[in-house]
Amino acid sequence: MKFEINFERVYPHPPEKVWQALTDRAALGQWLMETDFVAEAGRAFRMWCSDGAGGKDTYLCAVREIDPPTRMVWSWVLDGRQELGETLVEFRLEPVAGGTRLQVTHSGDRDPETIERFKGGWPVKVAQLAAVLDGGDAPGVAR
Amino acid sequence: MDVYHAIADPNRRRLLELLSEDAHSVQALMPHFDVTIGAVSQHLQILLNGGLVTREKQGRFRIYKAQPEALKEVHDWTERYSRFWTSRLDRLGDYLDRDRTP
Repeated sequence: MKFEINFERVYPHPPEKVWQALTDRAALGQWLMETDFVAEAGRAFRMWCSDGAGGKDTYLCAVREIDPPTRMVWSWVLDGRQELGETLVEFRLEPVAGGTRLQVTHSGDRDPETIERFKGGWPVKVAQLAAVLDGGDAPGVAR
Repeated sequence: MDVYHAIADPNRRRLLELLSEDAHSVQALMPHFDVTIGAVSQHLQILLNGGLVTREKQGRFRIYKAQPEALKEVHDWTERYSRFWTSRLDRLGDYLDRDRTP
């Protein structure tokens, strides 16, 4: 079962500057998460963020593809939930009038049998799911 | 086949709703639709491929059932990461505006 969400933003800055913010460890720490990121194809890295309960979640990631300053793909999985499989985050940059268009796609592929083992909570109504998917799926869904 | 495609069509959403309430054969679903049995079967096949329904044989009939856990998993994941990326991409914008290096 595949799923994905797409985002698109235009920032009034040149692609090189946006690329720097996506590939510099200190910059990533400022806007994304604390990380030990290294901008090199094949490199594993970690990211940390608050779990909302006083602890920290660790994400295990790797640089799958890197093509400055236009495209980068990361694999991404929450530590402790590896059995659910990796997800992929793709960043695509292109120059546009007055700045840079950044597109981010986060996608996953879950085995339904694995999901079966993580049962819990109330089933979701189809309409609820559709509303969330419509929101996450539209290009340029900004907020 | 991805879950977005599976749920994009109103007939498939209706099928999911009906199958969430109870398991049914194609024949039992037919009165709820204005389309041919072939079309309903095709929609069910798409939902099967998307992992949103399962199918099992009972005598002469194939019985379809919704997979609520699959729906919930996709819903939760999508909602969580939509919120996450929306806030982080806002922060990226703020970071870029603040950062003075060219």
